[in-house]
Amino acid sequence: MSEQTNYALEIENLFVEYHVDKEVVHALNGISLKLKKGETVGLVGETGAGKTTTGLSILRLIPSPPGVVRGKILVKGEDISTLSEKQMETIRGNVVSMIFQDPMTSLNPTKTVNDQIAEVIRLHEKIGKKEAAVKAGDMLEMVGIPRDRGGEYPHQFSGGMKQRVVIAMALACSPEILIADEPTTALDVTIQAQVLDMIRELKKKYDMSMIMITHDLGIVAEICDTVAIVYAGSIVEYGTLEDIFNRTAHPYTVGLFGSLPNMDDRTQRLKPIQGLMPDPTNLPEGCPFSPRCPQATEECRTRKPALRNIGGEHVVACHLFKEG
Amino acid sequence: MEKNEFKQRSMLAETWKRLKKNKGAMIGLVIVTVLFLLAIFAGVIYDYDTDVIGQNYNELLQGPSGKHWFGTDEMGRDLLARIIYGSRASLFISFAAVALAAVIGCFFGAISGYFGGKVDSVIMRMTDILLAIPETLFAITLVAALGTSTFTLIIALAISNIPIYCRLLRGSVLTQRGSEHVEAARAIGAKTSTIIVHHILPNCIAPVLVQFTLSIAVTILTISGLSFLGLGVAAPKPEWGALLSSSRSYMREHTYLTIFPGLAIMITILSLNLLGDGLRDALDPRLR
Amino acid sequence: MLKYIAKRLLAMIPVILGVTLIVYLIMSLAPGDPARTILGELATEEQVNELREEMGLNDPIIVQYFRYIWNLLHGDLGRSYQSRIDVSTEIFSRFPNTIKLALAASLFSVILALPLGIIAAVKQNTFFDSFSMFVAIIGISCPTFWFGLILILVFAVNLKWFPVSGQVDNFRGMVLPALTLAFNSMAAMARVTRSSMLEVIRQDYIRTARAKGVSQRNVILQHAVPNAMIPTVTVIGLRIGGLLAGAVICETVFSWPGIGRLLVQSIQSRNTPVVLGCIIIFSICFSLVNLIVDILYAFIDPRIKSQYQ
Repeated sequence: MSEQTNYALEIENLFVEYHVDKEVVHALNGISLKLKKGETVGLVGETGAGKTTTGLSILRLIPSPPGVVRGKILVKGEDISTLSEKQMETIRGNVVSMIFQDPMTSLNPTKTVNDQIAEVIRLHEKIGKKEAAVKAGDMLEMVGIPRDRGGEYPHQFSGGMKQRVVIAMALACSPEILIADEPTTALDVTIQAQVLDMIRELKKKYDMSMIMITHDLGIVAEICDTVAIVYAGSIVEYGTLEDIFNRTAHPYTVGLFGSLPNMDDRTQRLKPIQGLMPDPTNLPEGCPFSPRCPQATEECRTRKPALRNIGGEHVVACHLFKEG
Repeated sequence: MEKNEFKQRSMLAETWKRLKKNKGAMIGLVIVTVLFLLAIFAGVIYDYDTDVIGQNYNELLQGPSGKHWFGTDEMGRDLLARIIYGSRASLFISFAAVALAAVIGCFFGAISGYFGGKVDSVIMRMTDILLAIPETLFAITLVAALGTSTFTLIIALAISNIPIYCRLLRGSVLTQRGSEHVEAARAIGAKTSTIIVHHILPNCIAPVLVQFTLSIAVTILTISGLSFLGLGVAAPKPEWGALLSSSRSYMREHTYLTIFPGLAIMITILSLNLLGDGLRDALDPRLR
Repeated sequence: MLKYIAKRLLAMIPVILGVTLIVYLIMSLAPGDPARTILGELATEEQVNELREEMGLNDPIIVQYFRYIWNLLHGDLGRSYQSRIDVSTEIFSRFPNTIKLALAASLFSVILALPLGIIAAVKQNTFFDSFSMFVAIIGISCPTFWFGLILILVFAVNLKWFPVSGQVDNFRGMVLPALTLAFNSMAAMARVTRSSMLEVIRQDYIRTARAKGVSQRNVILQHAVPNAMIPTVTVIGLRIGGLLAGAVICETVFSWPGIGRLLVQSIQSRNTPVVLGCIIIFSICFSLVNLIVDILYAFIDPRIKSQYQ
């Protein structure tokens, strides 16, 4: 790689737009994010905030057209927008892997599980068919599936088992960066914990950097080192786990915590955030959260706040806070 | 009830809005409408006895001209007049046959889907058997046995279209039967017939409508094929396939006799297919 | 797998029996007395009755039907009214010609339709897509016999590249009939291939494959196409069945000496045993094609295959 860097991944001012039927959907509006080697960052936000889009941009898998991507993404210091499609293919599944949200639909129904894992191994490692099949079996065992079930098809597996297969596939080439897009959302609660534990352990084992995309603050607390709160395609608050949980700043983040049931005081009423996310084809002029923000001022409605540092790594995009 | 009606109407409006955006479907709709009007008012433009079947030995096999836009045939008859009158046969027979098939097919399909069990398997085996005979062959069989007549054609084409509607409705009913609004109707003690007519059938109309359009197209093709073989509408009554069949002897020198009737069939079928495709897309925007 | 095939074969028997019964009953509705037809107007009432007895025409219809089936199983389809030749001889001397035509047309349509549908889907909304889908909708809207006539006009009469009527034993003589028969089914197959490809390309597992680093080309060929084939194969089967019916018309246009033309000629000459034989042979072929498709289906869809392993 060209230059030495401490960061596994750097995203600078990333914009993604979809041009559909004369309308422009602003999916990402200038996201910047840095991921240190070995670190886990949580990408938290509501459905439609642009979390998955961020993940797909890192793999350069935004369908184009209708997608238009601007901004810089550096993987291990290298700008992926300058790479050819062939070079990009050597990164996908090898340097950067992604686990998708729905294990039910993420596996090819016409290929055996073993073949699907072996495929990614053979793409990135120069080994024969037989060796790849053996290694695929190893991967299955690592995620807790007996290797003799490798010859079966996805429909013969349960949801949790399928997600294990997806994880085995993502980790088969020991990637340096793992993007986990709501890996447990589609699973039963008991299975969620198992899968999460497994991801955490494997992350340690392979010394990966990870982006955990989720809307579940519980998962964030358990697994992440730093957290980025995403709202309407922008990061509104970023900090260490400590910053976000104990020194919550942005009104949206406060709102997210308010929507959680309080385990200590069960009589307390939930305080849901009023209203809905703004229409991404028609974002408000000022702060995107201003229409729903209880503390919004005239300034919030007219001028979009930039990210400002409020101590350590903690940054927030809100006019209520001053640089300090 | 009122609310439900409102919902249905807005769904129709929504479908129409999407359909209007589809250029192909709108072109299809316009052409189909024009064809219908021409077929209905053919008598106003031409006199059947003199223009359509009357022979005129002064104007045999004349090419297209100002007087006869599509030229004249081997008996001096105006080809355009014969094509326009020909659309009557195609449209009437296909509509009658497909409508008959849709009514019967939907009836048995609904019963089959709603009651399931033995009734279902008997009906399904019957449709299997009917589906095992291609439409054209079935019509040929019936015509071979009973001779050519409009009535035989309608019956033959209707019977071969029944299984499609039977299957279609059975499928829709099966999905509807398990749905919550039907469960709810059953829970408040609605009669079986009420449930089928008021709660299940309205939700099956969309796919039936699409299939109807497409079946009409296929059936018109089959009719013209049969007439081409001399097994459909009998001369001197004009029919598109029959016009083509009789044009074969003059094909080399009088190409227009072959080209125009064929174009008439193709444009009709094309319009119906465009309309059917558009309807399907408009009713199910996910598929595109 | 064998169990599956056996099960499908067994399920086919009642269908074929049903088909033959319906066709037999319909044909028996034909007016006129076969014995009288054979012997002609000059024969005496006595002679006719004798022949009726000999042919078993006085037995109940259902007995006649089972006798017919019994004979059919022994390869005997009765005798032609006109030529008094065995119907089976007459049919099977022409049957290979029809098979030849249908096979050539099936090959034509599959070979053209699959790439066309796949490329159109991959290049959705491009000129190639619009153009091939325009050709396809023309294809399903165009009457077989008219397309045949136009091909004859252009390529046989004007350009003189191919003979006007079909020729069974040389390639040039087969091109126009096969193309004519193929056009309609090719168009239908291309359309369904495109739409199921579009459906499949949207699926999550295609994105998974891309994320694994599979190249665009292999994503299409190895991941999308096998899945898109599942619904496509059904339509291919139906269309090949439809080809058989189309053969009746196509053979008439090109004077092709197959059983389709035999059927039409026999109807015109009221030769009931031959008509019956032809239609039954067509129906059996149609059922067999469907059976083959069902088995193929199980081969490409593991969800069905694994039920029978």
